Amino acid sequence: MSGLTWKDELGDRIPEDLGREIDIFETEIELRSQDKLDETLFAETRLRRGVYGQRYDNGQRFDGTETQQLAYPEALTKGPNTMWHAPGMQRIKIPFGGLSVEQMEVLADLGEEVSDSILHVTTRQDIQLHYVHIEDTPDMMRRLAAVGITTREACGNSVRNVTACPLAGVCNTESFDVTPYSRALARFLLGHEDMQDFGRKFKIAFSGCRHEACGLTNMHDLGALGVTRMVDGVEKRGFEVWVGGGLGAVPHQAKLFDEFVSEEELLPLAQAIGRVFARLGEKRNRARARVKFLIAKLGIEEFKRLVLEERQQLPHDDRWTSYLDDLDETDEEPLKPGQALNGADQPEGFEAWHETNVYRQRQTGHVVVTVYLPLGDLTSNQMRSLASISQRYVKDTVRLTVEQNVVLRWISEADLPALYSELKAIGLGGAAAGTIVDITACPGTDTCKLGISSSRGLAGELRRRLAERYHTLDAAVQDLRIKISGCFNSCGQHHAADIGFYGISRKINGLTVPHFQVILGGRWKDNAGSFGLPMAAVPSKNIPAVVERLAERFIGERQQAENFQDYIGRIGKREVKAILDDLAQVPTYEEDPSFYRDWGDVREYTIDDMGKGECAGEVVPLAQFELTAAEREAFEAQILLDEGDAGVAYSIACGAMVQAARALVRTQFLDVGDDAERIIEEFRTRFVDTELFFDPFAKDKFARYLFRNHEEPLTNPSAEDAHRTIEEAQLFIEGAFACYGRISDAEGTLAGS
Amino acid sequence: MPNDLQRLNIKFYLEDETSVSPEEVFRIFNRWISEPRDEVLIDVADYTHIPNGPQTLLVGHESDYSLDNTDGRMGLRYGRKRPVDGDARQCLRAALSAALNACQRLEEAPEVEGRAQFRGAELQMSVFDRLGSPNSAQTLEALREDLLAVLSEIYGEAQISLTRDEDERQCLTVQIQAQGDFSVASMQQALAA
Repeated sequence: MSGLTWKDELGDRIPEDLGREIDIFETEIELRSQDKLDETLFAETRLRRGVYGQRYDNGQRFDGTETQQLAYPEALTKGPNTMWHAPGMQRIKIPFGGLSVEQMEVLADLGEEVSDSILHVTTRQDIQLHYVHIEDTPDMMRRLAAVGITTREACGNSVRNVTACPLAGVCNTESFDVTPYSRALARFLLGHEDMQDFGRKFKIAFSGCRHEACGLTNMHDLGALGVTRMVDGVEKRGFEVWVGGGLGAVPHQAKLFDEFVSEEELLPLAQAIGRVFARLGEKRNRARARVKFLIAKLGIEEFKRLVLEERQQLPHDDRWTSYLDDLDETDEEPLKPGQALNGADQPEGFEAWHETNVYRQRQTGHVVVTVYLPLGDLTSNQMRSLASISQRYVKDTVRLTVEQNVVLRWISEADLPALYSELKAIGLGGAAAGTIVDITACPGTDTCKLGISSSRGLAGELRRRLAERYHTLDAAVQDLRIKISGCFNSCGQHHAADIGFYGISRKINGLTVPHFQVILGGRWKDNAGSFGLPMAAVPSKNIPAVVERLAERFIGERQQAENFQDYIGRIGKREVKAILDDLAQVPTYEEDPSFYRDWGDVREYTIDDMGKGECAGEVVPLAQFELTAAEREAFEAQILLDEGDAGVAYSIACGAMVQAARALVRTQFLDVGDDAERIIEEFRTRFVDTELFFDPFAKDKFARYLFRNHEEPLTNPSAEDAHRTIEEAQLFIEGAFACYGRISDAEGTLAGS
Repeated sequence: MPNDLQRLNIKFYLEDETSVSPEEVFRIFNRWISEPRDEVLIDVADYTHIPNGPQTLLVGHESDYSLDNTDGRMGLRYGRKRPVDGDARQCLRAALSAALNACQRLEEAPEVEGRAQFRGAELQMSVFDRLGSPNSAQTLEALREDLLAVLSEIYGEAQISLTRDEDERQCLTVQIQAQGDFSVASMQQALAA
């Protein structure tokens, strides 16, 4: 056994092209380990293979008292500020979330052998492994490649995992099964030479229904919604194509590119879009490099013209249509014939589980079972057992979902009681899938370098509390969706939830307090039909009370069958803010120190400031007052937008940014005055040119919102423009709060509430 | 005989499974990061939402430690991740020593006030390396002499039984049971002698 390698062991089970790429990557690892390859170049190389950095990989960790240096064996890096020996995260692309039994078993083994025995399902149907050492990645990739999985382009400025509705093919309301199309596009674009020069990532989603959540086509760079059309008396398949959607810091609703793109044209059109994006998309400023910004800049009509022009110039490629001969390759066969439940004995807990976790397929006698994964996690043993269960009940018809669960398709209804018992035995029999208990959360501060607040910690706490009370909740509350991101980057898809949260921090009496911004009004249905807006910044410890209070008010005040979005719209944001106002208050450390720690963490959030905080008294610096006023202005803009006055809302949002900039400027130059031009000039000189305003990761992104809105004001802003500008204003103000906090820390001055 | 015995895991079980909670261990592991002993400790992960798994995980550079309930029994698992030099006997000895040190440290942690006590006579050894050490009777046979030699250092003349998990999909996992009572401290002393 000695000396045997996975490369030898797997031999020709590794596809030649993937094997070659992995060999090259292994060589690059070797070169970098000898410092013979530039660290920045290596970072992009590994990112394009899904090999990410992870929190604390800069070799530092705040232990609750002070920042400790993690004494890695060598100072070698695998990217800027990324220690070579620091464990990282491996993202594994699973196109349309489809998994076979064999793939599940390999993933389980890898979770155990190179990670921490935990597999995490992401909000884009990927699998992530954490705490992986870079030297372990080539063999891991080989083992994945041998079962048809690649990590290529799981990260970096590339086409990311192509997602699709997990019910595709068995759904009752779909136009047709989008699975083979999503697979074909994923394969076609993987490593395609036209897709290698993007300024940012490019995300694609497929959906078969307009009105369900499904593939969330409205929030993707390219969303393909399956539709049919009668042509000469024959039903033709095609796609309603949407472009330029996205969440991120400022969400954009996708724009309709074409009502009907034939199945023959789907791949070449995607290629043409990629070529235009590569050619004209922003490259230097990452904050504006997604295709949504290019479309906003050009306008959808001009973008469309350029794409269609590009399409005409594309050299023919047989792959555009060759897959159409094999559409049935992804067709699924049931392992067992569909049989009704017919009053079979039901184990304890079955009824509740059946109510929320079982979806009746359009194929009579078969159902889809959702295996609910708390926080999107399952152990290697659970994955292995799930593979075994799948083999016995359905074989290879398993998919991951964007709500971080697993679905088993083609279950014979008569098998449900036995299946439930088996799932329960391995700890995967949890009910309440797709309900308020089934909370989506990105990794946040647990493992993500960008995390500000603990999204998983909060999700875990909310889940625990809501699960205890689930059966006492009104059905309308049970059906609400909660989604949480650890920062403004929206990996938890908080904009598209009934109740969304994203992590921020605030300086209170000289101490940094973890907070979440409360986002309401988003719509998960209709493929993420609308995006919510920020309502209030609330300390993390009060977020469970926010959920409880909103739910109570909703049930107490809703009119007939009014849904949550309509309820929030009816009572208005001013009233919502009033509901939450007292929860936004933070007690002093002496009154309740728990507010100064995040959920799921025992460390003080920033105890570095403790000494100053204890003697802070009630001094409230001027800047804090002025920043709070700017935030209030941004909120007023939301109210005006709700009332239909987009123009004024837009102006006030822009003004709120100037007001926040002024607050910062006045910390250095009290007499800056009220002239916007002067304020912005001073802000640029004092805070941007000096990088004082720079977010550690977003850099000057938020400052650019201010500059752009000032330099290129919109003369007749639409409601969407106003919505976006309000989001930008909120982020700019958050940036100003954070900047003020950093300045206070550096100067050892007080930053009061 | 596998002379590249890597990714060794050793688990000792708590005498009283409820004697220490994952939340307490989470706090203790956080403290250990600030007080490392010849190793780089990085972060603590909370997985209490998955009952049969690592409940609280202390992530290190070379090795991980967890309050583990993967097999439905609460214990402290030590898992080596980075390669170790030496033959199988040396690898086993090093892993056993590291696991015992962690058990002792937890037993002595002021936060648990002596409540955490480990059942020394039973342990689980796993090898998270399906290529180098596949889960087979042959692998165990090849390893048996070295394993018993190391175990005899801590268990002396006591009768020892080795039971392999025969599920071939699992990594090589051996349940080890010795006749008699053995404390962590005594086993540490024996191993150090």
